[in-house]
This record gives sequence, C-alpha cells and structure tokens, in this order.
Amino acid sequence: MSAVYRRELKANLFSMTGTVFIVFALAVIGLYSALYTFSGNAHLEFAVVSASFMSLLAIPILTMRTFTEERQSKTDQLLFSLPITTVDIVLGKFFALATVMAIPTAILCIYPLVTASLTATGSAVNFGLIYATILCYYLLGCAVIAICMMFSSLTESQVISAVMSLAAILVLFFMSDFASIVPATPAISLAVTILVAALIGYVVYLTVKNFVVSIAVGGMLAVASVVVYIVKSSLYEGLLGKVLDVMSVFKPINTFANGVFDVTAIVYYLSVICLFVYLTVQSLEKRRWS
Amino acid sequence: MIEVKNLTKSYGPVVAVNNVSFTAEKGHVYGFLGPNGAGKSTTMNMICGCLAPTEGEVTIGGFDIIEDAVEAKRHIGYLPEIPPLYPDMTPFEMLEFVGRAKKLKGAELYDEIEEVMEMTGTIDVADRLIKNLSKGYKQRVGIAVALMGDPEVIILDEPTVGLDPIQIMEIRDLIRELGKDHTVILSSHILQEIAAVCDYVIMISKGCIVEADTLDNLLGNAEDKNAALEQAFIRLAGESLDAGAAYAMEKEAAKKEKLEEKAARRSGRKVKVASKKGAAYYEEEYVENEDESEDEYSYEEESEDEDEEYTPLFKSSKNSQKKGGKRK
Repeated sequence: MSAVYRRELKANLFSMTGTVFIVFALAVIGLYSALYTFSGNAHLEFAVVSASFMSLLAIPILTMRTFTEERQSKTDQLLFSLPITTVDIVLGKFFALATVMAIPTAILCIYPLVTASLTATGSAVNFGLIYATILCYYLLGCAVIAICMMFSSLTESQVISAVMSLAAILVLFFMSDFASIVPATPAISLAVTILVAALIGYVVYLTVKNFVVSIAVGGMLAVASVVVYIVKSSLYEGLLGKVLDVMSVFKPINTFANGVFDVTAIVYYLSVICLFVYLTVQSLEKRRWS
Repeated sequence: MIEVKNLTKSYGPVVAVNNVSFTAEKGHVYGFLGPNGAGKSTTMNMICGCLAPTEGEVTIGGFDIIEDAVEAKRHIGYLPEIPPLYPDMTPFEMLEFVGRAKKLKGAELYDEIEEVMEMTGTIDVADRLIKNLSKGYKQRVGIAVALMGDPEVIILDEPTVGLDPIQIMEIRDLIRELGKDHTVILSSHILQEIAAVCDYVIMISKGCIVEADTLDNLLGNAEDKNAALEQAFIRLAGESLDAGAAYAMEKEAAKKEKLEEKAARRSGRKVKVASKKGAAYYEEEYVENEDESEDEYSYEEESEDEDEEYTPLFKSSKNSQKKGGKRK
C-alpha cells in the first residue's frame, strides 16, 4: 500500500490536477472567511459551512484521473501483476487523495488564529467549535473523494468521470431539499419500496445471471414490504424523506457549526468512505473477471 | 514452476482462450507462437493475474494466482504488450515504485535498480521523463520493470517490438542469459526470434494449443531452422500440408496486392472527393466503401474455402483479430 500511496501522492502534487484543486479550495475558503470576518462576524465556523460545498466542487478534477489514467496507459496491468492486493491499490490511492485534501484543511486551521488576533477581544473566537467544524469539513471532503474515486473506476474517460462525479456532488448537495419535498404518504413510500425491490432483483440478475433467483429475491422483498405495510403502515410515514435525508452528506456539518460535536456524523462519514472504497474495489475486481 | 490447467477465457460467446494446459520448468525459455489474435496476450494476462480465467487454474511455484495472489505474484515479472509505464515519471522513479511494491527497501532497492538498469541499458535515460523517451527505450524500461526484484518467472509479451537490430540482439542475449536460472515465457509472432532464444515452443491458434514441444523435436535436423519453423508454424496453425502452406502464402501475397490496390484507389478518390465536397462527406463515403469491399472480400474467401476444404492460417487470424477488436 505504501508504494502506491507514495507514487500517487507525488503524481497528485506534481500534476496540475492536485494544484488546481488546492488553489481552488483555498480561494473559495479564503473568500468566504474574508467576507465573514470583514463583515464584523467572527464566527468562522459558518464561513467554513458556507464554503464547504463550493470548495469541494473541485474534487472531481482531483479524482478524475485516479483510475481512468491507469486504464488508458495500461498501467493497471502492472498494478495487477505486482504482489499487492486490489484493496492495497484502492486504499493507497484513497489515502494519497485524502492527504492532498489535508493540505487546504491544514492551511484553514491557521485562519482561526488570524481571526483571533484581529478581533479586539480574542475570546470571541470559539476555537473548539471552529476546529470541530474544520474536522467535519475534512471528513466531508474525504467522503466526497471516496464517492468521486468510485466514479473514476467506472469509466475509461477522464471527462465522463469528472462529469459523473460533479453530478453526484450536486445531487447529494440538494438531497436534503429533495427530502423535504417528497410526499410523506405511506402509499407512495410503499410504491417506491417495491420499485427498489424490483431494482435489487434486476441487479441480482445482472450479477448471477439466474432468472429464478433474481425473481425470488425481488419478489420476496416486494412481498415483505407489502406485508409490513398491511401490518404497520405507520412505518412508511415519511420513509422516503428519511432515506433521502440520510443520503445528504453535506448536512451534518451544520450540526457541528451549531455547536454540537456529533459523533454519529463522524461514524457516518467513515461509513460512507468505507462503503465507497469497497465499491471501488468491487468495480476493479469486476473488470478483471468480466 | 508454472502450471497451467485447462485455462479458458470467454467473453460472452467469444472464446478467446480455450482449454490451454502446459507446465513450464526452471531453466528454460518457452516461446508462445501464434498468429495475431490467437490468444497469446490473453493467456499471459491470465498467468500474471491481470485477468481472471473463466475456467481452469494457474499456479506459480505452487501458489494459485487467484487464491494466493500476493504470494504467487511475488515470483512474477511481467512485461505486457504495451509497456505499463507512467509517462510523468522517470525510469528511476518507476523502478523505485515497482521495487517498493515488491517489498525491497533501502540499499537493497537501489542496488537492484542499478543492476536492472545496467542489464537493460537504461542508465543513460534514468532521469528523463518516460513520456519523452523513444519507443525502444520505453520497451527496455518495461523489461527493466519486469526484472525488478529478480522474479523466478519472467513473462514477456513481444519483448523486442520497437527495438533496433542491435538492441534486439542485446535483448535476445539477455533473455537467453535469464533463461539459464529463471523460467522465461515470451510471446512473439516473429519466427526467427523464437528459433533464436527458445528451448520449447508452444503454438497457439484460435485460443487452443496446437503443438507444444522442444524446438529441436519440432525442427528435427533441418538445416535452415527458420524455414523449418515457418513450415511448422503454417502447417500447425493452418492444419494444412506443404501445398496448403504455399497456397496460403500465395493468397497472402494476393491479398496484400488487392489491399494495396484498394488503398491506392481510395486515396485517389479521397483527394477528389475531399476537394469537391469537403472532408465530412468523404468520411462517410470512405466508411461505406470500406464495408463494401470487406464484405466482397470475405465472400470471395469463403467460396474459395469451400472449394479447397481447408482453413488457411490467415483467415483464422483475421477473424480472431476482428473478435479481439470487438472485445475492447
């Protein structure tokens, strides 16, 4: 893993993509911090929250080449013939990207000190609050990196990978808004659940190529959801909204900025990272087996 | 050292490698010989674990390439068809990376890099970016990558492509030298190369092994090694006798002539049409024209086959090439 990590870190830092990402993120964060500070507001944590979405919009630029380039230059054949596992490859690349993400975050850590020295009463800056928010910002960045990294493992084109990642970031950002507008009636939640059951059946069919098994899996899930609906329909009340809400990765940072050190959010980000690292490994493995 | 059992790879209905089995021992150079698209590279990719077989298994030094992948891959040095090099690194950095991935450290790592660079003659370009190197140097850096960590099994897919005659001789000497205490498998469709460096020849056609024997057995005591091997190649791959071989060669010449003629005609038309109606129109015309001519050609070929009742080598290579193209 360390060999891949070292190579990737070097490649990211000495290529344009890494530099562009760092400069863009710093520019956005700097702009928001300056605006908040000079408008007489020492609450840097809200500047970080406001900047989080925009500064992370450049992550697709950072991640687009991660796996597409390997496939284009056929270097994936080298990686697969070296005595390292696919998990090593993916983790090495992920940690290298996370290290690049740490650079703007580290510079951001200086801002509270600057703000504290500027404000007449240094005590106005709540360091604990700000650094907790910055930690959340970093974890959010890593989660988005993991998601975008998976998209780069799906395609051979850097452009397609970047566009898909950008679309994913936008959808995730607006997810909490979607959550608030979807209808909360149990019947509609049930319909969507059955649709998801059918989709799962289809995915099963794609993986095992067995018609009977996929119908059985999809059918059983659909029947189970109908049974639950008949027995206790209150479970479906607002279910759709809740599910979409869970998927909005940009939301927990607000909790931090409002002064709550939310451990569930940290666990949540770490789970998102693990899930997408796992999916990336699976997508690479699948390519070898197809 | 290498044991390949019933190796099969299919992409949907297309079977790229079909039930290939062989064993390779230490101290020999094995040559994979076959027409383009016969399944040489696919087989090599599977031996090195870059590609998972549909069926069958590969063991390297007793370790299964899928089950004990890391242990098995520790014994492999692989040079794929296109040297897998990062264009933004220098050969030195590249070898450093590969050495680290193979768990070499400190002085051991740098000694190994120096040794490998000396063997492949890449010291002069050690600090130039790979993207600025010539094809021959890239190929040599690719070989250096395969040799890092002194693996017991060295697998080279067309190692001398893009090298000049002197470099080819150097690399062949190197392969012969390595063959003394390693297991070397190299693929090629250059018969002279196989005759020059290999002890064993494994001939592949349409994904199947059609012949596997020592070079000496295969050639008997023929005086002209190259000619004898050529005969064997054409005979085995095409499943035809001497007359067939001659016929196939004749046909190849005719085919070439035909293609050249067509190319000439096309290029003539190209100028005319391009000047008249612009490039976009020409593109369309060109594609249409090509399709037509190809259909026409394969039709002719098929009818000939029915008459002669044998499968010529060149047709098989053409078909499998087409399939190979679709796969990608």
